[in-house]
Amino acid sequence: MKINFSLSIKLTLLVLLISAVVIFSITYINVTEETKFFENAYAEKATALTQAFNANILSRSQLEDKSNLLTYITKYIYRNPEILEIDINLPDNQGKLTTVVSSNSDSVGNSASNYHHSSYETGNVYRIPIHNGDSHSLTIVTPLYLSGKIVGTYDMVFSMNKAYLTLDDQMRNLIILSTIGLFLLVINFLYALRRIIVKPITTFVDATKMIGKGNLDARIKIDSRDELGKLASAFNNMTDDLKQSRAEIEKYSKTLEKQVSERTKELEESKEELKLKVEALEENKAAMLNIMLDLKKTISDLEEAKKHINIQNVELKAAHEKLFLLNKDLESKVKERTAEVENLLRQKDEFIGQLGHDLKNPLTPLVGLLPMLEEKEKDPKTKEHLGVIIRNVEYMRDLVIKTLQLARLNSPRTAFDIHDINLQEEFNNVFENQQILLKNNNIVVENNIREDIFVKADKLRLEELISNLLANAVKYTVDAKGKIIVDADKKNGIVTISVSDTGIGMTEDQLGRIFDEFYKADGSRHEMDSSGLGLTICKRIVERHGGRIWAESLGKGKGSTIYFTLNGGDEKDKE
Amino acid sequence: MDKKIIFLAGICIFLLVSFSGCTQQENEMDPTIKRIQDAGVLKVGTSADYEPLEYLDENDNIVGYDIDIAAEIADELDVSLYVINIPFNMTDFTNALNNGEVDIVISAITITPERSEQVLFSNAYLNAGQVIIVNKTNQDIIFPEDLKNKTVGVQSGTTSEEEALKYTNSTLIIGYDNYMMARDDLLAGLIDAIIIDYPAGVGLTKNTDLKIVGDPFTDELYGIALKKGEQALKIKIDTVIASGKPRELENEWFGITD
Amino acid sequence: MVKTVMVVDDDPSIIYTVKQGLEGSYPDYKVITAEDGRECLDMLGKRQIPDIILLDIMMPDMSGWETLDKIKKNPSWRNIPVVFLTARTDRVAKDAGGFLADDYIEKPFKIPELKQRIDKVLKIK
Repeated sequence: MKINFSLSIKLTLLVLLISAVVIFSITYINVTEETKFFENAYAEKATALTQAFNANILSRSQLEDKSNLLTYITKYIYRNPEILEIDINLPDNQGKLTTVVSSNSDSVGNSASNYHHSSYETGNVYRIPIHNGDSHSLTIVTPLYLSGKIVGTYDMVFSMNKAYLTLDDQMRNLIILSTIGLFLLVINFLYALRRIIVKPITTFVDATKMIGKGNLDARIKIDSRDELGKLASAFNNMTDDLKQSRAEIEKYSKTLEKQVSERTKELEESKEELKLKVEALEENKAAMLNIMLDLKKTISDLEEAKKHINIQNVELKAAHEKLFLLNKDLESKVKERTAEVENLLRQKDEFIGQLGHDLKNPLTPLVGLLPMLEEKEKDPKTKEHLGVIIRNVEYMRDLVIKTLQLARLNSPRTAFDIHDINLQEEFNNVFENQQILLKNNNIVVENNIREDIFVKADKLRLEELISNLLANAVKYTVDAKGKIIVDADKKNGIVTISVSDTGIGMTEDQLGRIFDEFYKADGSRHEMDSSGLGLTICKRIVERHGGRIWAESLGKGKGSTIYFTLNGGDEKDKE
Repeated sequence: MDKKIIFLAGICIFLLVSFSGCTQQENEMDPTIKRIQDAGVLKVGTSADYEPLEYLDENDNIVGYDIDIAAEIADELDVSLYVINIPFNMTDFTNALNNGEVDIVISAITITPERSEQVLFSNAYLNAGQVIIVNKTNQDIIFPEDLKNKTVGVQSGTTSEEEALKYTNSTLIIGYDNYMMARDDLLAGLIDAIIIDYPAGVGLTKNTDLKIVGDPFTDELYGIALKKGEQALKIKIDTVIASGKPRELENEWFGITD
Repeated sequence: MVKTVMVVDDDPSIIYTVKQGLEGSYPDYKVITAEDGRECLDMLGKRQIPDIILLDIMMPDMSGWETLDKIKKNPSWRNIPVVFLTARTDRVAKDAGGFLADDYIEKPFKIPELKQRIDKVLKIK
């Protein structure tokens, strides 16, 4: 408790000092007063004694009788023990006062002091207190009267020791008592001090220490309304503020910390990146150096080569010129030929086109009208003839159409108009167009193609393709309740379409050859029924679209499936 | 904390008390008193032939009223007492004092101006007047005036002798060396009366057929003899005398109240 | 309900085949004919509005395309469905800035096929 100690000590010492001063002042005053009192008492007594003494000296002869005088003095002292000494002084021949008789024989012959002389002259009585260590005496200097006239002086020395002894005792007692009283006062004072000042201060110190340690919940409880109480409440307020501030600071600090840690993390990451970059750069630098060295070498090599090249260049230039002339010549020749070829091709196409037209038109009435005739004909023989004619007409039709198609497909001049076509729709279209064919053959079609599959194709050609595939599938599915299933799958931008039938199927050998021209798979089939060009045309169409076509079959009698691929399309460019 | 305070306060008190006690410090010591105190003994000269003031007891120790007074003085000086027996002779006393053989002489010495020229006297410690001693059977002598034409025995060289001269013829005064002889003569009827200091008279008449008649008819003031100039020692002795101790001893030794 | 079909073709055999074929097989079909584009447009102009026009492409003077163009440009006729009868399966696609036929059928065709195509187009319409 150092505060306590020094504070208390200071105040205690202060109190002690003040008390000591007070006590000693009191004592001193007391003593002085008492001394005066004693002296007065003694003086009075002394006066009485001196008067009594003087009363006994009545004549000069008495004064001259030294022996008698001495006896008188000695006896006087003997009877009055307070008197220590009596001296009688008379003027000598020169008029100077000298001690003639004394209870102290050593004093005889001494000159009297100035007091005596004053007393002798003025008749005054002098009281001279003498304090010599622990011996206290009072000397009375008084004139010696004889018949009312001053003839000399005498002095009496009174011992005041007794009184002073008492006085000393009193004083000592007083001091002891007051010291004890002081001691008690101090103790009480200290306790009061402790309660009023020190304890609150200690409370303050403790609270402050707690706050110093970081505990802001410390509160000072001082009930008094005095300055300390006010201080306490002010302190508590301050602590509250501190607590609040600290909470805010902590919050802020946490935010800061978080930010700092985030930044630090970012910095760390950046640092790492930089490090890596630096490393990479270092590597690059090394590589660069190597490269530079290589380059240098290469440059020198190149310089060499350059020289060579320059020489060669000149040679080349000459050759070049030659070539150029030759080129030009060739070009013009090629141009000629190309033009000729183009011309020929055009002519060919035109021819074919025209041929086609000229072949198809006449076939139309045959194809259109003969069935009607056959139907209406009642005569069986005629009907039979008609049937044969119709079959052949149909064969020709098929041949004409397909050949023309093939020719067109083979021609490089034929341009394809590619659009995004909805596959499902297209298939449905063809199915609808061929519904008569399907119905006649008792075949059910199933379109499993999803409505969102588009392909990039030439619409006409696609129709041709599908028609041919369908016709082919129908041809080889002759049993009742035949089924044709079409499906498509889009993957990586390529659409794979399948046309499956429940027909007679194909062998492995046949699978490879069906796409050949004029190949007819079914040997039993009548030649007239099929041109053998259908699948060839399909192949051409597919290949010219950049796809591929193949057939699969599980074997004879197990149906077949033709697969072909086309580029996938989007709905956006729908035709 | 409290202990420390108490301790400090205690020290303060101690200091105060001792300080107050110290108000009675000794002045610079008088050389004589210092010498005596250093020696640890007060040398006292006396003529041990004057009962009951100073005499030899059955063991040859010097005892008496005067010796007790001397003892008081020794006490005051805080030293022990050493008594030396010197035959009564003022000159011898003076020499003994002057040469340091003794510090004081206490021996029922009456203070006279003449003696005061030789030695320094303390204040009177005892007033032992002269008395007349006669045989118990004597009825004639009561007052000093009754001594006219009577034979009176006295110790030679004493104030008793002087007094005797006042009342009777010198031829009728017999001077003895000591009062024992005088007593014997009185008892034998060879003399009529003895004049002696009262206290001595008490001793003299003890267990005898002699009696003291009347009151003391003179004043005999005894003083203690010191070497001239010994003021400090005188003061010390005067203090003892003034203290009333002699009165007490008087009562003890001879029942005199004056 | 009677469906009126206009057939436009420079080949009389085609006309004959279509007329005989449709009217002979399907009683609710009536066929009116034109031998060229001009005649077709005349007939249209005379308010002879068919339900559908079958239009040959290869015709002298005014080709099927031209005729189609004219038909489609006329607000009264533009909604009449047009089906090309084509012997040349070349580009039936859009000419630059031209109009499209609603459908086409390739010669030679069977009568039921024709009827089916006509029905299909009319159904859509």
